[in-house]
Amino acid sequence: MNISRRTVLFGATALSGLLAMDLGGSPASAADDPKTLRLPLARPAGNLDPQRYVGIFAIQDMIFDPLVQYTRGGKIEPALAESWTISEDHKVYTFKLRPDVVFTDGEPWNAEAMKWNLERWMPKADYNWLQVSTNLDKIEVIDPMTVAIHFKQVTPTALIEFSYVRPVRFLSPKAVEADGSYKSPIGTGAWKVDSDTPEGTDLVPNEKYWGVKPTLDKVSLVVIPDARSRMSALLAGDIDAAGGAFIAAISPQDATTLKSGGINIVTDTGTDTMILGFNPRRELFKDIRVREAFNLLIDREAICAALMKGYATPTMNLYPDVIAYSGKRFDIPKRDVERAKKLLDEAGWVGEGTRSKDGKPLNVELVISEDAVANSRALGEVLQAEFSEAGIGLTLRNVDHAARHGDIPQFKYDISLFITNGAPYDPYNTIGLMILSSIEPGTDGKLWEDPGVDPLIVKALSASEAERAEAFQAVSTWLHDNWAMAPLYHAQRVWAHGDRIKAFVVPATEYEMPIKGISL
Amino acid sequence: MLRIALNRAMSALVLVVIASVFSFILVAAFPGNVAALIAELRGGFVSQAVVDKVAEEYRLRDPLLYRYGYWVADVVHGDFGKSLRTGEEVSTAIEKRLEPTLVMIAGGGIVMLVVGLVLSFCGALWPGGLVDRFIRALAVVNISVPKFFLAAMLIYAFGVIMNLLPTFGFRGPTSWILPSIAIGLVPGALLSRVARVSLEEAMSRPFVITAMSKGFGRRRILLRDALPNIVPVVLTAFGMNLAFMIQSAIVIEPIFAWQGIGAYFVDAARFRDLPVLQSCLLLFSVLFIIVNLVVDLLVIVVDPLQRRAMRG
Repeated sequence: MNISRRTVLFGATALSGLLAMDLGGSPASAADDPKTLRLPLARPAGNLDPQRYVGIFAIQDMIFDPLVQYTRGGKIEPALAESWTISEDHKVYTFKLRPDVVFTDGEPWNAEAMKWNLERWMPKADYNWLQVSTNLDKIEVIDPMTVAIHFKQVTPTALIEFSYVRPVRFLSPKAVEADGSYKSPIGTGAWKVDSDTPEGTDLVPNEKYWGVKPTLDKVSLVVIPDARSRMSALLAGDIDAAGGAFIAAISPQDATTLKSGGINIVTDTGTDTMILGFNPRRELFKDIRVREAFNLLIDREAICAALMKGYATPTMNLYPDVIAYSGKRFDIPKRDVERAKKLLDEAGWVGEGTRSKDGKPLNVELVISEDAVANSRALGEVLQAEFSEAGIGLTLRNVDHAARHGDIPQFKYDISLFITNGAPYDPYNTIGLMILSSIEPGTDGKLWEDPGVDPLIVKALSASEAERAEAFQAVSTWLHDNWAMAPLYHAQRVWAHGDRIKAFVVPATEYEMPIKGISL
Repeated sequence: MLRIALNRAMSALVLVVIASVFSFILVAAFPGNVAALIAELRGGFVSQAVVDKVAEEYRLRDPLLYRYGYWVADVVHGDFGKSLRTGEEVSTAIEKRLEPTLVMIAGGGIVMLVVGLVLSFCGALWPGGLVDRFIRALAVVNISVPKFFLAAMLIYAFGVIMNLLPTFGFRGPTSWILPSIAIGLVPGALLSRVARVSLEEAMSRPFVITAMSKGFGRRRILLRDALPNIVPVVLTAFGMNLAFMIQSAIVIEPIFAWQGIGAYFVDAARFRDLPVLQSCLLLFSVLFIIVNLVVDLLVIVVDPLQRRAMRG
């Protein structure tokens, strides 16, 4: 029988063929396209409909423009609106639209296009997590380039909300199907989609863009789901940079490894806070002494140094100081096991080993989810060790994204790790959605609930500019004095880039690509 | 022959039905609130009322048996449903993603065959020699190394240090090499053990002694006389391993950033994309069953002993 010999021969030929090709080819080299920026995505771009929450923020941001632009530190600058006025009662915002702007399909940007877009979401109940949607009275077209938005009540967050990525960005009125459903990603932004496949998305400059035109020829976004593979690709020079919490996150451990491999690491102050949240509906945590004890058992400095490799700053504040109205910095308490034990004794939790009260042991469940909160398993293990020293039995329950989405809003946990919304959403969103008890818990859950802080939050959310700083300070002081939660750290925003990038600027929010200010 | 083929096909069909039950039930029984995830992706702040509405719309709270019924009814009409996450038709998405997976399995199959046969023949040619011992050690090491680790090491060695091959992507033959090796090397090592042992066994048969006494060389006897005897065994082992590669693709594809069925499955699992998960699982089972069926039939074709037994 000759088949087998033939198989061997065929196999050998195939192998040598493969080896020959191996030497001939080399990875897609950067030299071919000197002005293409290659960035990784952890997952495909997805549906880019600006009114849906599926696509990657940073890509939507490249394609679709906002009315006003959020810049570092919370400053608002003109974008599709050239200027605006706010009525004396702070209920009417009149926007003067930028002239001579067109969508990439040739449709003009004007009052009609704006009204058409806003009507797609503002009046709908689904979007009432935004004040501009909840408070909307009417949208009035004054002239072809002027639109007034009337609110039923004072809406101080309006400008900042109009800078968000979704659902507020503007789609071409022609980029929809006959029934009004989204068809294609056509905006007025600096970039337009050239190709979009599960492997990646290529964007090219919009030659009709109204602002400063990009200096790059192309941005090629490639989907690399595995974090380790992204590191290899960066080390091999197959991609130019990686980073961004929602783009292709780099862990502190990865950053350390990449740095030793000769990759440049760029960091910027984070805009969010990692918080250990107590379940406000558990009897255990209604006792302020217990909450204080938990706070005192955490060694924040050590967590930042060892777990976060120095890419984080310890905190006792709800917001980092880059967030507007984040208020004065609170002192970080030294870890104090003796004082924590005393507090627990006073609260009635006593005994050797695991403490107990009325025969009930002090066992607490920490729900962690690597999918939702990166690094949470390691953090959970540290907390477990630190709490056990004071006789608190901490068990970790590791769940995935979907399970966390079910359990957290339904308060099926004792303690869990939370991250505040960050720029541009804060300072408004986190206190409004995750603390104010009159709002039903969303998928992010509640950091704390207390009728004592509610009026302070309501006041802060509707305060005029002059009173705002004081009103927000009152909220954060209340939360701090009541040990309402255990803030842990503000993680830095980490990006890594190879030598092909000459200048790199970390974007203002986690919802943008690092394109502005970059040079190859 | 036809009767046997029909028989095998019938039992394969029964297996497919059983596989469909498991594909559905296992996925549907996952913990986690799917309705909340879907609601969140649609946009807006997700309240309990919205979650309830979504659950109602997708019939997520109907009894499991009913839901299986709806699903099977759709599947037999070729409708695999729409992805809960992206709204894309699952059948179109699978079609788009079939190519990388098939390329990976084909590449892996070639690597497996080459590695398996070359190693086992070298071993049999110089039994007990340095090569034989080295091969045995290599096989053991290969079998014990997890595939994802092997893949990462290959990328690091050939992509980063030597910079010979792309570190990721599905862009032409050069980018196929590392994934094929990553997925095919371990099965190749397994195959080499099977082939080596079978060769040894064949070489101790009386006809080999006859051939030797005629003065034929070891190489000629191995190729001419021993090899045909091990074909059915090697073919069966090859088929089994090829079918298992479909599962390895789930691990290997994301590492090399290939957007095949395996990566699609992983992505869907994270988001509890039930229609996608169920369709992928069903597809994996069907592919597994088909590969095995084909191998069974091939073995009957190439093995005179089996044919005679059946005619018998």
